[in-house]
Amino acid sequence: MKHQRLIYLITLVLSITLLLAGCGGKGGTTGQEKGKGEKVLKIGASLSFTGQLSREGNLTKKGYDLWVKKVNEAGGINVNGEKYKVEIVYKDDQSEAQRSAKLTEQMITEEGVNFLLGPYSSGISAATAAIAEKYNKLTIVPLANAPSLYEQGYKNLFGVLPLATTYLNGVLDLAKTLDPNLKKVAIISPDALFSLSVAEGAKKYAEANGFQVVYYDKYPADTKDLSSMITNIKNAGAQILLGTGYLADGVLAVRNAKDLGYKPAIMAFTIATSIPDFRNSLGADAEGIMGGEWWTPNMKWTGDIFGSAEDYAKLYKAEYNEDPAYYSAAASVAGVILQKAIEKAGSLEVDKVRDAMRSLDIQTFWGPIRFNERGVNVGTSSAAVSQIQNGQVVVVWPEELQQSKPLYPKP
Amino acid sequence: MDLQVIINGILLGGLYGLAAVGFSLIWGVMNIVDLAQGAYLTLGAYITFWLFKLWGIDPFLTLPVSALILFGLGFLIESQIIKRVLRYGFVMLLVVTYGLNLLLQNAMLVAWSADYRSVTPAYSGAGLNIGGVNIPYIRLALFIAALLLVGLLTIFLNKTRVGNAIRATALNRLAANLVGIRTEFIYALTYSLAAAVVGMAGSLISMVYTVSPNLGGAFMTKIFVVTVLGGFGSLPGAVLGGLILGITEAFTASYIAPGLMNAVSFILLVVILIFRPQGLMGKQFYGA
Repeated sequence: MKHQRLIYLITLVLSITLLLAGCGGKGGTTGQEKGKGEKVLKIGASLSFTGQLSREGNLTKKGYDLWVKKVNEAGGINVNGEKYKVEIVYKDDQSEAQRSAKLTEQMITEEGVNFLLGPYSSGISAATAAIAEKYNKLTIVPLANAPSLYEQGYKNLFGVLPLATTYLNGVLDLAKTLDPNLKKVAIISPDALFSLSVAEGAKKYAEANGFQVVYYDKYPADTKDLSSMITNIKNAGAQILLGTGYLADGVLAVRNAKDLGYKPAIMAFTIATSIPDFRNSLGADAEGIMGGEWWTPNMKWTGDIFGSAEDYAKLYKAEYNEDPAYYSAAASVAGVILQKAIEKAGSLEVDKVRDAMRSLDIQTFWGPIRFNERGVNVGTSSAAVSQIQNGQVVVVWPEELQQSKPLYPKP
Repeated sequence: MDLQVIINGILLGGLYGLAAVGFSLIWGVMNIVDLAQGAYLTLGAYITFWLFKLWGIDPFLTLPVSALILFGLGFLIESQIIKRVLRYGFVMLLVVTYGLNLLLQNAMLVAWSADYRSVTPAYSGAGLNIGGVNIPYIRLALFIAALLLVGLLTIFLNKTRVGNAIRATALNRLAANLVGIRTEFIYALTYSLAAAVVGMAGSLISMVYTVSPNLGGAFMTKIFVVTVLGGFGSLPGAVLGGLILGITEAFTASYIAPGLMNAVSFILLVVILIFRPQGLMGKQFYGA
């Protein structure tokens, strides 16, 4: 059978191509020449510049770059009286965890970096954290908060975000105050570490608070169609739809729901309100959609490197001509944390900086930063809830941060 | 059994089918597994997006534009690159088209960034509701457009001189040469035609899904499965394969578990390959 052999051959070749793509070349350089006598601290960052998470990866990079710029303008990081300019070595992990792990190993062994700023997403961070642990290098992950990541006993891993499990709790709290008849909740999640953690957290919280979870399921991360799930959710009569996916998942769910005439009273997504693309992409269909919000420029936090949250937003806008999303803010604050810990330790030795991290207690534009023994930031506790109203994102919950009354039910 | 699930599956399947037609044609006629098809699909989607965004042109009216641009690009790529690599055989072509795909995808990433974009004409989201079953107009129109395109292409291949020449070349290039068919031209034509069709598929897909440089990559796996299911070189096979895949996915998501969608699709693929290695509607002599 000539055909059969041909198909086997193709399958084989495809697999090999994929494998080879995974290995990849080195790429990237170690940076330009610096003037004599100028000391440079090299920091490694493997990020997703291409692939599924490229959008989020690029936002993360903007945050890192803004911090680097700010630090270097002020002369650099002060290590026991000596100023070190900061330089970040970037690598593209193509949104693949294994590739990220490989690149991280390469940065440690070949570029000799001691400190790593994390990749985007919990799944990829899990891979790089293991490598950093092996070589005893410090990693600060701005955007990885799956609980399992912090249950590995890693001593070199520090996260900026509160745990993912709390992400959508605010939406449920808000729902209770809006309408006592809101009972039926549907939760959908792509099959990815972070998303599943949020979904599990939301399910537990919903059940503990008297909601009835009528639909709960996951789908493959690369799914291009959610019609079937939405059909089942519609049939189950869910009044609240919670989606825990990334940006593309949220857009897909909204469009599929509209196609199928499904109109829940509340629709909320983990990543939706926080990225402008979401409302640009959906236009009027985005109206009334809620999202968890780790950080917004109107939160009343302030710190000494970037000033207040509002100052940060202004600086960001001046640099990139767009409003900052929390990704970039978290990335910038990861840099701030590393800087503060190094300055506090007065040393570039990993062990000393780690000790300084453990006892860090600072105020930043992101909020208070304090780590527990697992490396989770316990300075702030959970996410606020925002909603898209007239094309703008406004914080609607908790009441002390409220900018506008919630729009209910969703139009 | 839920009628809505079947409808969802069929509408989705039509799109899969259309997306796979070009790939199947190239494989059948030229014996090339063209991995660049994903990038052509993405490009078609972007063409529709930009025409819609910049000048408010109705997405359906952008189809001929996508077709023309992709036809031109396909011709250029075939005559400048593919043609020169043909004699190095199957594996080298795989490498070349894989590289082309990377190149185009990253060019789009640089040019238009990784932002997610959507084409949302005024009628998006509207639909028929028959006895509780929702049929969105856009998806229905997409499905009809897909069938129309495949139908026209089938008629073209079977009823016109050029179409017959393409099929003759697929059967035996040497013999086709001997009876006076300019097979070099036929190859270029086939490749361009396939690029145009997948470009139009991209244009249609942009109305339902979010457009980003990564769009085509996500469809490539589906395209591969559909083509092998239906039998390479067979256009009705591509449509049938698309429908089977679409319905299987819808059923798995509804009645088994959405998380097992890909697993079930591939199990189906393997089972069909065991019993019909040439695909459901494939013929032995195509693509050999």
